[in-house]
Amino acid sequence: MDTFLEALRLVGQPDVLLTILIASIYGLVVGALPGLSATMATALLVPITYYMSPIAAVAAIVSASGMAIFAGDIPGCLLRIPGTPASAAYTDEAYTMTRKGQPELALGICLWFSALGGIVGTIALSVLAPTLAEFALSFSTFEYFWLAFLGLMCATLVARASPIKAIASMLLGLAIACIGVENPAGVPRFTFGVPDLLGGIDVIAALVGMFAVSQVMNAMLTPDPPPVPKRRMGSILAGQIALTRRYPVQQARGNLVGIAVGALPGAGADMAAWISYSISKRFSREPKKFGTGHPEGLVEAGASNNAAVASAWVPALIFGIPGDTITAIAIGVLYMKGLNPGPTLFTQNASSMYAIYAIFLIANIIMIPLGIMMIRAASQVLRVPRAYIMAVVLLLCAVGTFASGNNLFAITTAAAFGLIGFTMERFGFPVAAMVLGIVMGTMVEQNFVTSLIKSDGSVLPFVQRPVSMILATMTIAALLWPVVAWLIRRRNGAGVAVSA
Amino acid sequence: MTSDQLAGTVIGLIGAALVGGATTLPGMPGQQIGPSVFPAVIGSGLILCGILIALGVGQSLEDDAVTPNEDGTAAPPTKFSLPVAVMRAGLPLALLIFYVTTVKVLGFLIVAALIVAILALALGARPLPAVLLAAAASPLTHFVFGKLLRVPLAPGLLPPPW
Repeated sequence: MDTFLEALRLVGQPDVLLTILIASIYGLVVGALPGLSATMATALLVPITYYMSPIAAVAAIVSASGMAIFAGDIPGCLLRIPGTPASAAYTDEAYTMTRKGQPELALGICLWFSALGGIVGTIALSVLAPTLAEFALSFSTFEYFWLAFLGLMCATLVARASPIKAIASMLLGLAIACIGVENPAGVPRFTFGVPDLLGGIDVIAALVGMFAVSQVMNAMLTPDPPPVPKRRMGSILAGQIALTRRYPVQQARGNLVGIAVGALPGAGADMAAWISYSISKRFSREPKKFGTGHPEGLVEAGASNNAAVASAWVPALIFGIPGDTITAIAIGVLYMKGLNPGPTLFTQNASSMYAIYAIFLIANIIMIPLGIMMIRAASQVLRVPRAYIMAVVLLLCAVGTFASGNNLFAITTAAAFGLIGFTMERFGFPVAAMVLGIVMGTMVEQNFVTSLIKSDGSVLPFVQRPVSMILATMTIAALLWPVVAWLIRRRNGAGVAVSA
Repeated sequence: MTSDQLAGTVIGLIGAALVGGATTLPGMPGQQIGPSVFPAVIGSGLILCGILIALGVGQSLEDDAVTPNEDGTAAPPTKFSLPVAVMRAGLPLALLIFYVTTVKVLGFLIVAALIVAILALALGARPLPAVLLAAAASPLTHFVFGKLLRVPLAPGLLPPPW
């Protein structure tokens, strides 16, 4: 009880509450702008969190990312351009509803079920995390190695690109993490004599480069998005209670899938939305209505992606393994603020944990009024010319990366990763898999090398302990899944050819 | 050469360089396992991926799967010719390098304003709004980062009044 009151005191600080409000508005605006994703909103926020108290820093990340994931639905619904990848699964459905003259209903679903999903996800986080933490206390480097590896493999499955290209991206990320002196022997590795590389690649600079600079580069080549038609929005929440009553199964299933997918290391809100939308379609009584502006899939996918946003913090807090690119950034912030992820976080820093749950709840509750305001303001916000937005974003990229270490080399790094991210996208390589590789590289290597030293170079101990065996099986299944999918498809394809 | 063959070759070469570089790393005294193990494993994986990509394995999985950008849209075709496209895409990078090389001499306010104005113009903004935006964004950014967050932004030729 004392820790609970202490947590409330931590969250009740005026600076924390103010941070939640400002970060929420920031997240809503950035998420709503096409081309500026939730990950980018979070990455550009990190340099500012350096100057905040630990709880305020976490509050900023949590509120901005959650709001941005919701706000990504707004341009998806009004312009058919998803603001964030997590909205892409149901953009067509939402846009069709807008064309049918129901933008209020579509956006209302996104908002209402996102907020409810976020609240359910938070409850799951607060129940799951301490339970798993107790379990995780018995984990050795073998289990950590497999967990991290599993996370990386999941990240390649999320990508929806060629799985081999996704694995290559992930490996490139791991290779980038090799740069610097942070390795088993502490020798300079792949630094090419550049002193600035001794400390390794600055993760924030790399993230800003790949998610923000590359988007500015994209904007230089693509035409302006179409203007939003002016329209008066009716009541946003009207009809939501009726929909909640009508689709309770879909909502609950969306929440559960979102929680489960989010809690998997490496798989986040994007994957949750895609899976939930297709589950909804498969089990629907009226699957033919999907794609014609039918609310059912929106309810389920909306309920799913925001639940995943919260539960993605489970592996992040317990193992330091990110659930998605946003938690990958959050982990960096946690380390910086002395809230090192790990099972002991729940015993030593219980009040901070309760504070994080409280922040999630507050953010998801104020999402409803702030979201309504944002939807009403959307036609104005979306009318700001892209030229102005991108020009300011590039300036913020420069200042933000510089501020993360007061080092001009970081800006060069951001430019380099802008080029890398841009090129990879053009060749169909998923950027998110590489980011997770960069973020988790040091951890994977540490656990891999320590395990190898313990086992004297033998592979057997990697699979001898029961938990590590289960994790190893899951990882190998994830690794082999593309091959199996390919074989199935080949067989089906051959069958079709024969019957024709 | 298709784009996949090109990409596969580059990936394979990076893998080979990684394996090669790993062999030059010093070991840990009295240990078989050292800093070279991990890069060597990754490098081998990259070589394998490179070969598979160049051979077009996995393309059948890519066909109907979209390769989304970070904003979830597939990369749309561009209306620019290749040299123009390269120059346009390179402009943001050039502006960042311009910041790195000149900020100490010219100072943050001038460099920031130039970056904003040039990029806005290149993206099709009209001259007057672009200049006004630059004149507003530069001091505002300096105020937030330089004054409130105390990031040491270079004063250069035009030190801000605060």
